[in-house]
Amino acid sequence: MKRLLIFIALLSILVSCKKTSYVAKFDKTPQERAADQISLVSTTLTSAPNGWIATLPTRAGGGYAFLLTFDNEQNVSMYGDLNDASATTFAKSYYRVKQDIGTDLVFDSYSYLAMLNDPNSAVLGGQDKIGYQSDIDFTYDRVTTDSIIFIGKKYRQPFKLVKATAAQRALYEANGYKTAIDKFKTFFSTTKNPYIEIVSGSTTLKAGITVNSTNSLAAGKRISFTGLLADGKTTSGATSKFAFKIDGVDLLGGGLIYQGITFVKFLWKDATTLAVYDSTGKEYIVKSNPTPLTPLHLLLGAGYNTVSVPNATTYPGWGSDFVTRRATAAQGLTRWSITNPRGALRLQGIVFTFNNVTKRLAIVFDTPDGTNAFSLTYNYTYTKTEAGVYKFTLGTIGGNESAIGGDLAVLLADRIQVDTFTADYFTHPTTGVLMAQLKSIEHPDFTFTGAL
Amino acid sequence: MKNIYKLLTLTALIAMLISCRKTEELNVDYSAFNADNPTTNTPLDQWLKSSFLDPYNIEVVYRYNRYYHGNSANVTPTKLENIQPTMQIVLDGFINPYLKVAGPTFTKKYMPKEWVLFGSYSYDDANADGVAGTAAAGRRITLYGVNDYQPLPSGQFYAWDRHRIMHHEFGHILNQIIPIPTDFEAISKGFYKQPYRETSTETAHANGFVTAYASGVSTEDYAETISWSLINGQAWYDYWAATASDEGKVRLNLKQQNIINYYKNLGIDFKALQKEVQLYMRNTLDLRESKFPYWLSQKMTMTIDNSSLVSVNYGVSSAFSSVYNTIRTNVNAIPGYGFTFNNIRINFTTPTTANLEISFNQGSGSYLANFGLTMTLNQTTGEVKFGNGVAGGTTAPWVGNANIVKSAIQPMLDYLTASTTIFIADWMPTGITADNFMKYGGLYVKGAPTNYFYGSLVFNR
Repeated sequence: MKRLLIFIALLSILVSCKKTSYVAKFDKTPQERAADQISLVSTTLTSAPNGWIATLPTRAGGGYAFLLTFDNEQNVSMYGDLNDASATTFAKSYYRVKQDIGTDLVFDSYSYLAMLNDPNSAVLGGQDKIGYQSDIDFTYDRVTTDSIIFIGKKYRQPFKLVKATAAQRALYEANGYKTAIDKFKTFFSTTKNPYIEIVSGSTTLKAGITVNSTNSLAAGKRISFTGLLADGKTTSGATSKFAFKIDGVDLLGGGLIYQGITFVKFLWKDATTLAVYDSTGKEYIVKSNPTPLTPLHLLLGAGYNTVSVPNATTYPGWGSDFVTRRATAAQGLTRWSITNPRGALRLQGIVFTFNNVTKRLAIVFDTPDGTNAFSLTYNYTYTKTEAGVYKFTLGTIGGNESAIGGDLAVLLADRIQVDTFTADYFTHPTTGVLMAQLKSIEHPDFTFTGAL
Repeated sequence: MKNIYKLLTLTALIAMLISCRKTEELNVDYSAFNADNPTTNTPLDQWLKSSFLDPYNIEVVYRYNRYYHGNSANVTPTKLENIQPTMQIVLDGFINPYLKVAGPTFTKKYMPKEWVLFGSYSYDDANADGVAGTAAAGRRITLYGVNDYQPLPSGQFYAWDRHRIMHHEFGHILNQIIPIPTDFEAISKGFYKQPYRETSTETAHANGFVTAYASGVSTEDYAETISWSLINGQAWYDYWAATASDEGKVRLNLKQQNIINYYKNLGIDFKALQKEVQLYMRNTLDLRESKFPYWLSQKMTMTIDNSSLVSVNYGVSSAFSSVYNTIRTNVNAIPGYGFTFNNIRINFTTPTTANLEISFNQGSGSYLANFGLTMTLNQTTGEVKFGNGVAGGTTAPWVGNANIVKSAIQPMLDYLTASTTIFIADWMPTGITADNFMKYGGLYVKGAPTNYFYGSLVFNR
């Protein structure tokens, strides 16, 4: 015990007077090194005579891009792709570079960047009291010869600035940004069913492209690829945030990864041809398909829920057998009157409502009785083969439907209930509207179309 | 011997303390640190310097710095163009009234030295109430929501709301320097309840609070009572007290008295301050509650007594006096009754009706006679037009008493309801002391401002 105490005493004496000299790992003090980095960031930002083209994904919303110029008086001016005004107005605000946890670039008065941060959702959108989850403080990350990269302080999104060329700057100043944005939007609003072909081994996949260029928090400023895989029945999809550039769009946050390929940007190949490029620089021309790429039977009751057969005696895409039988049914219905005051049932539209999950179909005949609204509803269950062949089975029906069923037998009991059907897209020959066409396999003349 | 031991032990202890002490110079050079001190010298900066920094040593921090709002909150920076108009509001409706009433020494000493501005309100999360302002350390006021600024008149609410926040926060700042009197909390003891959000404004009102927020805790009650007394004025405060429960009314009046005393101890006449703020609210913001016409649409009585001290001090118009004196003589001369005329009242009962009330005595018994009036009120111009109305009941004052004195007081009814007479409502008499400001109001004849009458105001539930 005594030895132990002496040992402890000796040890404490040894330890108590141990001197550890501080040896700096760096040749400069922390504040000197911080000052150097502040100077580096400030000098870099102000050294681009034509400014910087910056992209910034928001954490909760889509992606955005800016043209920014920084001067030595803490002024920053910017264009942004938030709306038409921001794309055409070079708005001035303040910035400063300061020491924080690292070196901090702060956009410290209101700017387009702040609109994404603004908790007031009436300003641009975003979640009320939160905004798009986007920053106005950015921590310096790294610099390359033509770019400087920051990370958002709170929401950790990459803020990448690339030096603009004089030609790009001139385009921005000539309202070219809005023109470029509008051109891209117009391409996708006028190009039917845009898609790219992805060659994979011996098969060629088609990936449909959907662009949402709104500021919607949940879906805006995003591009999606969807398409059928090689088996012809599995669908696949991927979505990425994007931002408008003066010459196309950038897919942000590591690009859009679809079927193992990382797509990074859209560029105009020539005045009217748009192409997608992957991370290896491979080009995919955006093409147009007259009808959607996904077969209709995969979408009926799962995206497209109704097929509304118009009120007409004949219509594009209607077979002769359907025209005759519809006329017979319409005539038969006039024998009936249900409501008071009494009129006569007049056949108008017919709506087919599909549910692909419960495999149910409701056929609703709109049959006003004189001036009173009235309809007849026939409920079916159905089966569908992998190839998309439908077989309908009548379920329980109501009293009116039962009584009047005889007059509709030409359509229902003789055809819908006994034949098998396929469903496909049909483009209206004059209006160009995309419709659905159902065809009887057993009676090729019994075909009809309806709005989707 | 014992002392030697002690001395030795002490020496040993000191030796131990000193033996291993190492002195090393740290060589900290603060000038080498990277100060975050954004400076520009724009016309805005010059204006802020000459209006705030030079006279009051107040720094206006408008460049965004997240450490001023707490790291987790969602707050966006200020629009530069809103800073000067917002700070002008601060100057006109907040600093200047204090400067005028409390004097330059107080204002320079106690005005918060740091004003921090943010563009949006501050939200902790998607469910949180927005924070509109904060006070800290007795020296900083933070105003949020500056991006909501609009020029007047559409910016009336913005300006009013800034004042609501500032006077509230400055109340806290004063409380951080000089504590709230201990007798304040006792006034509403037992009625404070958190979270205040679960208390409705109606309940808080009935219980004697100016707002639901005030009912949370006594410190907020203090700041809210200061703020609402100043921004909405004495008429509003009296109306608010009159329309609370009986106990609530007592509490509201006690609280205001407590605040008046608190300010008195600071060397400030709270009522004079209230008057200055109200003049700004009325003349600059055109605030409804700061103008007399609005209150004619509320349940209120105006007691007109030409023999009252206020009437004697501030004078009465000869045109009205002659009518007043005539009916006094007439009432006193009604044969066989021996009446003594007291005074008259106008009771404002609804936005379109009022009544003239004559008070008189028979011996020691006091009696009333009422005569119905119609009223057309334009709150914007303050124009009031009276007409003969119907009796408001079948009780003695409306029927028996009214019949007896009707012909005697007819000149007053004629004066009020003359078809060519339009009155303008305003606070009167001009020059009344701050103590009585907004406690007296009156009407003058449009186009003939020397023909007027006024009386003391009492609000009714």
